[in-house]
Formats: sequence, structure tokens, C-alpha cells
Amino acid sequence: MLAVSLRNLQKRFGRLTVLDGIDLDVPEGSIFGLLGLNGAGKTTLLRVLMGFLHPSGGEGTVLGRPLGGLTPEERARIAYVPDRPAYYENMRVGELLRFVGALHPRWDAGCAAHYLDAFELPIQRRVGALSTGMRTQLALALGLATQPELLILDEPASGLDPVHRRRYLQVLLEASAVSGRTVLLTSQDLGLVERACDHFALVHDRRIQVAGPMPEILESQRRIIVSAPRAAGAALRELEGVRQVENGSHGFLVTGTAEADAVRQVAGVTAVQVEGLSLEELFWSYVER
Amino acid sequence: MWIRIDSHSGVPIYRQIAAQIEQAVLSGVLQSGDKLPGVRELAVELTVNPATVVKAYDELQQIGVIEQPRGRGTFVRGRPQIKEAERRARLRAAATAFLLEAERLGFPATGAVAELERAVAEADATRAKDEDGEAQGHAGR
Repeated sequence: MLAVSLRNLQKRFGRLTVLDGIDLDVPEGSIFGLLGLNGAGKTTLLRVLMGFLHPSGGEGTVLGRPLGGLTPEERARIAYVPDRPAYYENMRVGELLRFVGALHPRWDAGCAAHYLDAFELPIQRRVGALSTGMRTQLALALGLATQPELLILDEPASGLDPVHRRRYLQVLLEASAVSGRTVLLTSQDLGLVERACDHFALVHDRRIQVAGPMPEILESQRRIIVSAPRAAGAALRELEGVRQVENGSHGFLVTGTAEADAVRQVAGVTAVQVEGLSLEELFWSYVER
Repeated sequence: MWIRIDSHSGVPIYRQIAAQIEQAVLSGVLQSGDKLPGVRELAVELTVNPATVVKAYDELQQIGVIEQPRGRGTFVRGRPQIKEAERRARLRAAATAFLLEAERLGFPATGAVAELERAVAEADATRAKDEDGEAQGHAGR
């Protein structure tokens, strides 16, 4: 089952094309990381999913319903946490909780109390007086207390120090263990995404560049240090699965899904050394091309 | 467990987990029959996605380091069983790397080979001494 499925999705603002032919499948129950540079269109994509924006083309489903066709009851099964949530700054944390709880049909007060406790958030403090990190944690607690089937987090964990970041990660992993719950998040924090997510997609140049299960994709990608004369560069670039060829001091640095044996057989190659690729290196190999 | 995850190492997390368990088996810290934590348990401890632990365990099972009998947990089986072709390829790669390093340091191939022979002799001597010591230890009891 797919929590989100998009086919050839387009989004234009006037003459500016932000998303151009997005295909995306988010499996139910996954923690899915949406990666991309600032301005790559991640937030736009999330806003289209939520029905806040109409797509300019293409189609898709969210929790089995066509885009833009969610009823208020269905919308209540999705929690959307924006990167800078707006609250009534004068309310105390406890008041805000009662306020949101009264408005939401799926609100679970026990669950809210549990996460408030887990994050050690001060109930008496005014929302406007919370630190950035506390605000981020409060937003997640509010989202989780609505018992969402789909939790969408836009740039979570920003403004968290290492201790709070770890706690945030723990809560997120624990929350996703609820059966059938899907988490879709965008983040610039590649370390967090590699730890938290089992699936990811990279948005760049208006399209999805790579998407799928995290460990399998990392396994299929490698960095090969090649010792060869300059003349071998052209042939290396031609190899199937080679995405990036950088000139090194004694040869080349080849990134992609190419097999070491294929690289070894290129004329002029005298030695190769194969290394794995972290999510961060994978990210840069697509973005810096 | 004592597994550490280094977010800046450039090595995928599942590989870091698999490599550290493999290393522990090779060094004898983990022995055949030892029980390893379950997927969920280890994922919580390391704060990583359970899929990452599944992938690490799968990789270890493939090379025969662990076994996962259905529903009974995860156990250490023994040293890695590497396929013949890969064994040869890995040894060849190590030899190439060794020669490259020697070249970088300004030694001719003959010098590198001489050094390798010296290392072999040293290892043999150490082994002989250990066995000797053990034999004497037994005799003394």
C-alpha cells in the first residue's frame, strides 16, 4: 500500500516551473525523507499533497484519495507540521494543547501528555517564550497527539542542539512504529535523514533524481578511486552507471552505480579502489553535477 | 552493544554496523553461538531506522557470520565465509595497495617483497614462541 503516489506531477507559478514531472511513491509505514537544496520545491510538493496548492499537471493520491479531494475527516488523518508553525504566542503550552485538542476530532490527550513529558516541555510557559528547539518539539508533540496516519514534517529538528536532536529522533522512530503510520519529512540534515529514514527521494532540477529504500540505494552506489592517465577520462564518463567523474591528483574519482570490474577494463586503468557512499556524498554527487 | 555510529565517516550506517560485528567475530569478542540483540532492540539503542539493522544483519548472514533461525533470534555463526573468487580478488587488491604504498614511499618492488618476507618470518617466530609458551604452560600444571 502506498500512503502517497504521484505521477508526472507538475507545478508552475506563472512562468516559473518548480516541479516538472515528479513521480513519487511513499510506502505505507515508511519514514520517508525528501531531500533537496533550498528552493528545490520540497515545500511546494508537500503543499500540493495537503491540497493547499493545485497541481498544474499530473495526478496522484494521498491516503488513497485523489489529490485535492480530501474531505475534512480525511484531512484529519494527516498531520502537517510546517517548518515555522504559527501559534497564539500568548497562550501557555497547556492552554494551547487544550485549544488544539478541542478542535481536532482525533485528539488523544494522553498521547499529548506523553510527548510533552518525553520532551520535558514546560506546561506553564507562554508559547512565545519557548526556545526554537522547544517550539520544534512542541510542534511534533501536537502533530502526534492527533494520531495521524500520515505525519508530514517540513524541516523538522531545525534549531535543536545535539541532545534534543537525539531525543527528537528517538520520538520520531518510536512514533513510526505505530502500525500503518507513515512519516514524510523534508530535511537539510542528511545525518538525521540517514538515521531516521528507511526510504528517501532527492529532488533537484525540478525532478526526482533518485528514490527508493535507503540501504539498498546506498549499497548500489559507490565511489571508485581510479588510477589512470588523463586520456582515460572520456571512456570512464561513457561507462554505464557512471554519474560523476572528477579529476584527482593521480587519476579519477568515479561516482555512480558502475561495477569496479567494468572500470578496471577501461584502457589505461592501472588500479581501482572501491568505497561506499554515504547519503551526504550521494546527495552532492547529484547536486554538484 | 558497543557499536558506534560515526555520522561523518562517509560509510553507510548499515555497513558500519555490519563491519563492527564482523570485526568482533574475527577478534573473538563475539563467539559462535552468542546471541545478538533483536532488530528493534538494536535500532532503538543506536537510534537508527530498523530497516538499517535488517540490512546489516542480512549482509552478515550472507557471508555466514550470523544466522537468524525463524523467530528464535540472531546468533553468531562464525568467521566470514567469503567466496573463492572474492577471496582472491580481495587479496589481489590488498597486494596492489601494498605495492602502491611502497612506491609512494620510494621503495622498488624488490624492497617491498623483502619487507613482506621479513614480516612473514616475524609472524612465524611469534607463533612458534606462543606455541612454545603454551606447551610449557601445560607441562607446568
